[in-house]
Amino acid sequence: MPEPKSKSQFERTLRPDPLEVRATLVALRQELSPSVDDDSIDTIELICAEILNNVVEHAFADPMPDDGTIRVRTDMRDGALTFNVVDNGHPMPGGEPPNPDAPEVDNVAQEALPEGGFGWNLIHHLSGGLSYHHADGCNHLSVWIEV
Amino acid sequence: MKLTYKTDGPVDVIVVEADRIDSASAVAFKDAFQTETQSGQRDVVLDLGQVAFLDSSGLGAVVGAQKILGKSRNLELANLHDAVAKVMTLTRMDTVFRIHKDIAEANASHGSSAA
Repeated sequence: MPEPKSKSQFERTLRPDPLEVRATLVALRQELSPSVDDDSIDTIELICAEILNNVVEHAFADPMPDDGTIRVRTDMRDGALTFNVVDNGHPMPGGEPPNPDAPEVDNVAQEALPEGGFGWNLIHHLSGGLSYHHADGCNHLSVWIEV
Repeated sequence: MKLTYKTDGPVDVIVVEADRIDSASAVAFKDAFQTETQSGQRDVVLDLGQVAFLDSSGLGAVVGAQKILGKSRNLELANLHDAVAKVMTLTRMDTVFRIHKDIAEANASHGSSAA
């Protein structure tokens, strides 16, 4: 007999498109909102946004793979949410998620202020850990978020 | 993206009439910001009271908005939702932008226009 699905389990398949990312985040937020506090939902939404934005921008950068598909699944268990993303885009360069230093903002001239480079830093800072591998032509990324 | 430009107070105010500045809307935000503010001369307060979500793309667009204003005009922020304030703190952009609790505080800090 199959185990009952946890109330906060969420699955969705999307194309690599910013509006579909937005729709996925809105739906995830609605799914979580009865059982998870707003502060945790804010954190989850931000991490998931940064991960999906990276997939759209980098895994599906030119040359765009055919039939680009991103599958998202969450599992809530033991006070943590795991956000699993599988996509058939380009593998991560170096075979692992980047872990850059935060962009410098102190004593930076206005014209040199960073307009990007914050995404991975936010993901690493806010999450409890992540794992990545590339198999069967797909990227498999899981991020663990304490709730 | 709809922005409303208000120039009748002690400081110019841009109200963002959208609930998200994200990767789908960051470019539209910057374009609309440029169009709305190009005729002005004063500092601009960005009223984010309707914006419940801002990701790093949206943050980049806000930084881009300051660059659009140039060195002679400051961009300041007001009415931040908790989620947006958190992004500002985590990226330390709260040290770059002056952040006001609300528009009344922003107006007061620019000297209310005594009638």
